[in-house]
Amino acid sequence: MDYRRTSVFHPMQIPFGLAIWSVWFAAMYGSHAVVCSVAPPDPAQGILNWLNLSFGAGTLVVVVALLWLGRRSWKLSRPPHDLNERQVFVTKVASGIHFIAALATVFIGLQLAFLPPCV
Amino acid sequence: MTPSIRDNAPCTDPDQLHDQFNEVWGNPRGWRALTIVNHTSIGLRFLITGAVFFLIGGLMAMLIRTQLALPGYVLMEPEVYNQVFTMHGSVMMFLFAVPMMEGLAVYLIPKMIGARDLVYPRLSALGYYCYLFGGLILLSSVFLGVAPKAGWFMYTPLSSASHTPGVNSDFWLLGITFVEISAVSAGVELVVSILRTRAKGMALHKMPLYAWYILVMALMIVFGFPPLILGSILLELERAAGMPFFDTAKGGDPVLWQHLFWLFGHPEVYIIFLPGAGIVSTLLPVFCQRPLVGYRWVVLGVLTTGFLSFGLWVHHMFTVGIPALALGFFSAASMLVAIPTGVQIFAWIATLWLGKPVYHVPMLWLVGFLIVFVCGGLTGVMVALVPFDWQVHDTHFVVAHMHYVLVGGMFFPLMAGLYYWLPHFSGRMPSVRLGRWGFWLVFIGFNMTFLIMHWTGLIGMPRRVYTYDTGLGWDLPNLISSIGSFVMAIGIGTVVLDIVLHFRFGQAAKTNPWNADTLEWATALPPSPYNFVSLPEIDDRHPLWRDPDLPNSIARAEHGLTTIDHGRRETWGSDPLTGEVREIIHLPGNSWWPFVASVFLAVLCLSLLNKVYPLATAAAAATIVVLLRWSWENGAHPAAAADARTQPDEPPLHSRTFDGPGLWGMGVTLLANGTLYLSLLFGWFYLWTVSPGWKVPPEKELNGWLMLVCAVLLTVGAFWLRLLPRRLRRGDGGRLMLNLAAIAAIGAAQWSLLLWLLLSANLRVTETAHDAVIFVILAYSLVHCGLATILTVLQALRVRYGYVGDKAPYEVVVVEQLWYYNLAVVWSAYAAVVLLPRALGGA
Repeated sequence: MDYRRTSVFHPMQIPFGLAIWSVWFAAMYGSHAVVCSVAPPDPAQGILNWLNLSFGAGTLVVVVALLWLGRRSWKLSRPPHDLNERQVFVTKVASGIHFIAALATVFIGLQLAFLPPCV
Repeated sequence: MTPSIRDNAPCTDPDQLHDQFNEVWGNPRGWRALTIVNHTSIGLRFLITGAVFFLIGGLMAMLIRTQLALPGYVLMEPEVYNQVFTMHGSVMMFLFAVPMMEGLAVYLIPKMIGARDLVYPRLSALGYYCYLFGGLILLSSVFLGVAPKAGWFMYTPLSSASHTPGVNSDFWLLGITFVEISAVSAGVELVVSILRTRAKGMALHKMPLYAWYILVMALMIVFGFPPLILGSILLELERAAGMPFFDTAKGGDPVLWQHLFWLFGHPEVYIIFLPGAGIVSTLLPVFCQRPLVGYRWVVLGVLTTGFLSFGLWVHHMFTVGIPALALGFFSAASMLVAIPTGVQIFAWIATLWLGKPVYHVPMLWLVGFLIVFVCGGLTGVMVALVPFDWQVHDTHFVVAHMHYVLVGGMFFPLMAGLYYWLPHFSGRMPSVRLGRWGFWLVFIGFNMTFLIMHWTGLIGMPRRVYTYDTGLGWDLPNLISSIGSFVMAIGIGTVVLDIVLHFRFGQAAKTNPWNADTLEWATALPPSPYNFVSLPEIDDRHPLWRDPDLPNSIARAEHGLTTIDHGRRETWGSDPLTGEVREIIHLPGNSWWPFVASVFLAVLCLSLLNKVYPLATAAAAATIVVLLRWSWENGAHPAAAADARTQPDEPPLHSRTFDGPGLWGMGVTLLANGTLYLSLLFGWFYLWTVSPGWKVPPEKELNGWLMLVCAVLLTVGAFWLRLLPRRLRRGDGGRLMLNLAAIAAIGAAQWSLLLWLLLSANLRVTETAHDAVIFVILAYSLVHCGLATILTVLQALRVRYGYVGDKAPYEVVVVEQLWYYNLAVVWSAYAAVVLLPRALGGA
């Protein structure tokens, strides 16, 4: 059975959540380095500065997206959807990967609540 | 494009079939053994060579421990000591751990997934010879007294020409890069083989867990090794040609080397660990006689570990002076990776709990693995904490942690695996008594050495010191560690003795001697070069538990793809998700080309090392000619598959479709290549934004308009090429040669303009890192555009000879991918070195 690459049953869905996490992680680290070099926020502002707030907002969007994708895969894997064994495998593993990616994003993103940037 | 049907039925007599298969798949002897390409032989060669390198690396470890046994004791002068510890690390990491795990995977994967060979057997052979020659070149430096001495991670500026002026670092940079050709080629091959050659019906969720682990490991190699290959090329260019990528005074930055090295170096830990964990997940169910608990959870854990491991590299650089927030990201990620590893450990413990474990020798090594690796993981979480890492950085604590993770995570499972699969290699069973002695000596010796070493580090002993004064509290722990290391060495000697003796005295192994569940035990012991005379349909994760008679029915040729009188080596080409058969993949046979190509590569490596550049140029040209000649025997070529007829119930040959291993191989190779290029762009932006001495030459002569014309011309060529597969899909092969020739002409024009751009830019490559990086970016584009043009010319020629056309269309789509890749490279280079500097300034 052939699946389109955008299908929720395509195996590309399995690593998709962690691919999103990777892009988020690289963007956070890379843009932090660039911003600190070009326009670092005032250290006296502590954690409440435009950079941490922007990163926080971006992190929140990514977490919500990952949770939504994870929930979608999970719901698909359960009744009333009548799936074959392969489809159940793809949807359940993809769902788990999305939730793990969300957890990883939250855990790493939590640093924004404790540490000021560029110092 | 309907393939012709053969009118003669395949032979049905099993004995006669085995003879016919041996004629096609058999291995020659004598000098012609150098032409062997089948995965069983190549895998065994990897394993044996890796074992020899391990013993040499182990001897170096003994020298180190002898030197450190007593305070003030000088067995080796500092110069020699530096060479020995550098080579110990380099040999163990690059010549033992990775090739050994890859070698085992090369040997096992086709057997486990029910295939007759890997998809690129000649690439396997090339990989092996690159590994062998690269390793020998690197090791020769020890005997010449000019071995690398800047530590196995070769930090600049210590490894740069200013601080290490001899050839020591060059041996490392060139030798390791040579070896890495082997690692990446095996990575590409394993990914495509696992995805495309599984047994009929072996869907992703039916795949053995070991194949999941190797799939993730191979993908990690594809993405993880290129940053180091790039770093090595840049550092060698700095040392040989004076391009200052890592020289702060000229706008470079030594920390860039650290980033490039650890972008590789941390995933490397998991590249080594994951196959080890794969062995554990394969063996535990066998010795517990029940399926592994939580198959899906383990797959989740493996995938997550693979991804997260790329987000940890900065934890090796906590003391460099990176902002606290960035350290926080990496510290958190480093702790997080313990969770997916923990999931696997709980799955293993649950399997032990629910099964009925039998403590054969392999199980002892598995239990040893669990204990040692969990301890190493716990100290890993400790050093993930930034303040703790600052305290123990560069002390023996880190050395001890690293050995717990690597020896625990790789060596112990490897030994379990070697004992378990010994009947495969010899047809005989290992001895129980010597095997147990070997395990206990290694286990006790290892813990004596490295458990104590944590303490030595905590009380402040730095790593890499060649001796120490008495009275610092380091005397006793060092002595215990040294005694422990000798106990461990005796244990290794016992294991080696056991393995050697078992070839003579071991009991003959019966079919499936451990009552295992996976397909590699369905072959003969030792296996024939073609693995299976007939290829079974697999619809269960534990095929041999479900059908214990499977080895016999396979040998009786009761399953598929038994035709052999055409003289081709064949295996199923299956759907990556479902395992449904899509085509027959025909595989190349024995050949001198891989060996000859690797000899020329060795000459290239040696001439670069000795700075004989005319010879290096000639060797590079010869290598390219050989590789292109090798690629000529493909598709409908008489040496590949001139006769495309198949049996009535069989799918077409892959070369007569638009899909096949070459297409996937090109895709995965371009992923590796793209990672190298992205690392180069990362280096450009890193130096631009972070390097303290970044310098932009006052007068820039790079012609932006000319580069734009190059990019536009390439775009025209790529989109023209895009039209050809569409026409071929409609069965229209008319004027194919003419079209390809015209596209090649566009490619040649674009390449000439690119060369003109590079030559006219007047880049001062030895004066600023800025110009040096632009030079490398343009040279990279030049090489790739040139290659695409040559391959397109060859395609046109192949159409003329009848090797490519509407009946054999698939090579065109393979070359098409390279054109798209080049499109991305040239346009992104234009954006990075022309547009962005103009828009943002500062570069």
